[in-house]
Amino acid sequence: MENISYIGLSQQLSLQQQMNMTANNLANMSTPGYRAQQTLFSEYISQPRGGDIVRQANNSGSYRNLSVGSLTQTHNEFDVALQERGYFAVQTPGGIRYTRDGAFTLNAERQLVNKNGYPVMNENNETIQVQADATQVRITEDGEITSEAGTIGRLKVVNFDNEQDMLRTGENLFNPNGQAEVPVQNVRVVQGFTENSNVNPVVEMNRMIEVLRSYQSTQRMLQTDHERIRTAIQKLTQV
Amino acid sequence: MSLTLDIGATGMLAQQLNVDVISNNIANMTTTGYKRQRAEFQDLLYQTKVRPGASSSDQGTTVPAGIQQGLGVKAGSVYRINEQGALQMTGNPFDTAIKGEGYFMITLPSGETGYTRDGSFQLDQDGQLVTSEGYDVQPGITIPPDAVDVTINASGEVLVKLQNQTALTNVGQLQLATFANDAGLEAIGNNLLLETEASGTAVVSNPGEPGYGQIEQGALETSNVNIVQEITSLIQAQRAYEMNSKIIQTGDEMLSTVSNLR
Repeated sequence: MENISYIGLSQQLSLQQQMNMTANNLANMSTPGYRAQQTLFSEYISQPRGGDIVRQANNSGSYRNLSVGSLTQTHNEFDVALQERGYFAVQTPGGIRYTRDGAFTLNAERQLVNKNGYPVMNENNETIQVQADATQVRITEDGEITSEAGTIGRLKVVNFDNEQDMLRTGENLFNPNGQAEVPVQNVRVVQGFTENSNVNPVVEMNRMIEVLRSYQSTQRMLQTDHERIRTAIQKLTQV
Repeated sequence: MSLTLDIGATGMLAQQLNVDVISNNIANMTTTGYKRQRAEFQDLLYQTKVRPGASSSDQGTTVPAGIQQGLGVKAGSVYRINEQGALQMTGNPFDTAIKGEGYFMITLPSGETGYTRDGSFQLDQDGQLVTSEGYDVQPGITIPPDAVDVTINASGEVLVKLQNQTALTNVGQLQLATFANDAGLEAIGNNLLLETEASGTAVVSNPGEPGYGQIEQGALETSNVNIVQEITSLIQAQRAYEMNSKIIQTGDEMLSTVSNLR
């Protein structure tokens, strides 16, 4: 009897979840290296089975759009962007984390660090030290950092078998969730650029309207069902 | 549900900061030695609702991708981009510009040392080289009153020609300071910067030494603000702000749908 209400409820819950993700995508529209996220469960709900089975929407999943974002030129010598899939590695207090946000800088000890002060790793998992006499720093396409004073090191760029499996930890960082690093064959690093988020505002706005309208139509369905039950009770008691 | 409203609010706050930074850049478009700034954002923490790789059956199958709900955006940092600005010739003998790395050192009234790329110096009543606020340039350089001509060469030596003399007299040496991390300097207004824990300590040397810029007399360094870039960023920030406000509106509409449910 209440199946319609349950189906409506589960759809509204999943729409709320989708709305929250859309909101997070739009809020991170200008976060460098951010990957747009999308929920998977609206498809589960759109074809609910009849009978007594009511599908709950919660444990379906979400996926990240892994396409490479556009690049913004910053002219900053330690800003780097990746033009292919892959991640830079940084040493955080909780272990090595991976990021596509290449807005790096030097700290007071002349180590290459990210904007949270976490040291950036070279290919041997060591911190990168830029000598005091290093001027005209160049970062080549394969991640080699050189200056007039000589070679400084090479940025570590790695990827993972299942990027969807990686956990986000905030601060533009990813936790590989136990996966092993896979070396990237064709590293393409560009200096003086940062990668924009790959959020497409048109898609997100469109999804937002869609979610709102589905939400409203579900509400209408619930109301109609409510009316139906009320009418039934009235008719049955008029005997 | 109110999560949507909160996330939208973090987005609006972030874009507000972005617009603030851009407007400060545009306002300082003609400020001598100004370095443009850029706001950088980071995503906030995530709520893990379903952990990726969680087991989905006793047959060993796992969830290919979990559900991680982000909580919005925050400002990561606002950093200066220390790209060289263009040199503008002024013809004024006490206007100096740095071509390359380094900062002039200024003694502030508090006794601290301030650092600046603004080399529009003047003389005070004692003939001492001071900034346009009247703060002394370090190391102190005094121009004798009978000097008829002043030359500041590329390596920062201040040479004067005295009346009735043919040879130039050296009256001082301008010095420059460099830092490990220029972006870590603290701006205090009046084109001045202060040393911080993040910048590292100042390393002082003569201009023209390796790693230090050269001095150009009779020129000033203009700001490195690129107005076309700033206006483009301003348009982007404004649109992003609007979209985040739409998120809040939509979240509100969904909430009002709920309250009309009965």
